[in-house]
Amino acid sequence: MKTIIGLFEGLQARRHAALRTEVGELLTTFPKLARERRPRFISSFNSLHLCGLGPDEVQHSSILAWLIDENANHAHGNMFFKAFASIIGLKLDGEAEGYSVYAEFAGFESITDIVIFKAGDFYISIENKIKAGEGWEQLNREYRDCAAYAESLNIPTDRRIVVFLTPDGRQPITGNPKKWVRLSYPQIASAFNSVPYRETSQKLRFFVEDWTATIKNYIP
Amino acid sequence: MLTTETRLLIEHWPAVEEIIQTVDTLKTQLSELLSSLKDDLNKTDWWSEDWSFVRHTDEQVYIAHNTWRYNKSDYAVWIGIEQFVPSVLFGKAVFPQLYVWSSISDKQFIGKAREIFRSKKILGTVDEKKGSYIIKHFLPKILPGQSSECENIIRERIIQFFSYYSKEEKSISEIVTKQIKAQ
Repeated sequence: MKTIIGLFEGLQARRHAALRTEVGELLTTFPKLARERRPRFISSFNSLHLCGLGPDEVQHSSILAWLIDENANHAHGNMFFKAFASIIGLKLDGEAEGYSVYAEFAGFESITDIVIFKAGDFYISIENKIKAGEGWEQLNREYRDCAAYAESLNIPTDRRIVVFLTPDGRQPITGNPKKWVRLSYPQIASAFNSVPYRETSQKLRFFVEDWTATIKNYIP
Repeated sequence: MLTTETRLLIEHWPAVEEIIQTVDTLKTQLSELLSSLKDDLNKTDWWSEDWSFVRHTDEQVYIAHNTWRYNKSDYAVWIGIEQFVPSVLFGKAVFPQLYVWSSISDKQFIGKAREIFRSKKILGTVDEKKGSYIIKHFLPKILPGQSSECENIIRERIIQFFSYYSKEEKSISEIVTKQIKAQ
């Protein structure tokens, strides 16, 4: 019996020793592998995540408004606006210039996230929802504001567009779904990533890539 | 060095100067519009000698009730409008110009004042930030097609806001009185 126990203990000790060696090797090799792999992590680096850009609608709306604004200092004129217009089904006559973009637009009944208009031509009202719910009668109020301002700017009724922008392009609750154009963040990401960037605009291209990657994160 | 746009300005400099002067005139007229709100208030059914209309700056006026007076010269609560300037009214600057504000920078007092409005469906929103604002509200933007209605829109909105919060005169008086007694 003693011999059997002795044999068993010896076997167990050898097994533990082998396991310790294996674990030791793994612990030594793993950090080396991590170090070797580290340079490849640059591809998933996102400057906006680093800056703590979360699901704040006001911040995302101001980025979108900046990109759409032909007079903004991104030096790409109306390229982003053209891309945006195409995904919401707005046909643009000529060069689509001379339009105005307002973020956090205070109206008669509501605050609209983004308003884009050109007197006599078109009026676009964008409600951007990421995580927050809709306020009381929110979209109906924004719709009425859109109608009132568009009227005073002589916008034809078929060129007044209300857009409900969400991560997954969901249906609005407080507005008539037939009147609202549903738009998702991936649609924006796809349209903006296909904009022809100027050769000297690496910074802008990276910024837009990071931003579109960020907004994709909020898809439920 | 000079761009097409700046050269265009130089070529039309007399017109540019005229525009700059007209902007100044517009600012003056906006300030006069603010002062003239007192006449509109006189026409409302709630305005009385117990209320004061104060022109604080060229861009700001407020009203306050006599029972909100403390330290002889100041009012504990102001119902007013500020930043009444072209860039906010007609341009892209974003600022909630209408306000209910307290000159008493006491956290507890501000909390009590905000509490009066918190559970109600109100004009504007209860300000939850640090500081002395109780309510903040936006005036609607005036776009190019609305210049002829501009004055009416602005007047109507401001008087509506003042009238709305004047109805809380008694609730505000109550907390101001308690605050004065506690001091």
